[in-house]
Amino acid sequence: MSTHLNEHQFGDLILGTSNTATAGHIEVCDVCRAEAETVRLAISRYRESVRQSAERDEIFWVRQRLAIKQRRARLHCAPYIRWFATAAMVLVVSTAFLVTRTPRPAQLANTDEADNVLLQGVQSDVERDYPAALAPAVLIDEERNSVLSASAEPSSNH
Amino acid sequence: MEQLTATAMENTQQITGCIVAEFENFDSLVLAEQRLIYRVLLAMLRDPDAADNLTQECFLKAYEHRKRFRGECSVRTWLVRIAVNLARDHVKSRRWQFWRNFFSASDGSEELLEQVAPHASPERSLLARERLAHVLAAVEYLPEQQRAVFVLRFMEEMSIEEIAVAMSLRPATVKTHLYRALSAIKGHPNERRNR
Repeated sequence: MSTHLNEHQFGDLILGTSNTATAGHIEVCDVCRAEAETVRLAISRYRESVRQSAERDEIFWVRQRLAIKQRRARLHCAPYIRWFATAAMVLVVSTAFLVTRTPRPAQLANTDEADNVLLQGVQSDVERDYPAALAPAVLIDEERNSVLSASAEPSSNH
Repeated sequence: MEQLTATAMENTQQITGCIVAEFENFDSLVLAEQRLIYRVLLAMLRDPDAADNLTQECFLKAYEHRKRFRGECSVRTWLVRIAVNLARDHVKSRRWQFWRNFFSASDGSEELLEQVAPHASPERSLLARERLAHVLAAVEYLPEQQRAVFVLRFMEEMSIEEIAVAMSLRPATVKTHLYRALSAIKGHPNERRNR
């Protein structure tokens, strides 16, 4: 192997799945060996530091376990709560419907009466010889006619 | 033939029995695996609060969907799979996080760097910090899937096959991701120096 390790060979070396040719190359090539060592060391440092940063007090883990337990318990209750909420909602809606629906017949009766009154008014208006608004004018006209007829009667007597 | 079928059925029953026992004693499972799941999520997200929340979420999801677990892999691998999926969803739903990290003074790497070789000589300590900074920066820039594969392999020391199962990938794909991640880590310091 005259050239340096390629991406796959280098990867296999780090992963520990390299073949004999790669192992042989590492024996003789200082550049690749140094590079492999640097990467191994860097990865090991990375692993150490991330593991250290993920270390927490025992209180943290206890609190986390407790939170999981509580949320799990809620998960168990959730279906029952959902059913209860649905039943309660149906009850409230049906009660509200019944409460708002109760005065409806009385309202209907009132409306019927009002309709009858209106229809009677329309009927009497239709039966009138003149519109109700012209009633005063008709009265004046009748009065004038009676006065005229009264004044004409004495002259006819002469 | 009948004997073989009976043996297979017996094995299946045994496996199912083990799974049921494992999930019945769920608190013990949490106790055994919570550190691993938290570590994987912290390494992937570098956000302690999110890692804590998602660790809880991971165990709740596992409990909720325990009937779907067929025992094709270990419970640990299954939990890691759930954790990786949760981390992926979290990253997708928090795209704005990039801008928060971009503008924030510290993204957690300072804390990691401070822990490197505290008792070594200043020169060695500086070199170690520099190496770690390069790896951290390289890992940060890895695509999501490559980062997950890298974390599972080099931090949790999971085998290629386990990672393949945990991430629903083919072993060859896992290897390719690892080659690229290693290449990025190897190349990153040089790239930075050339700038």
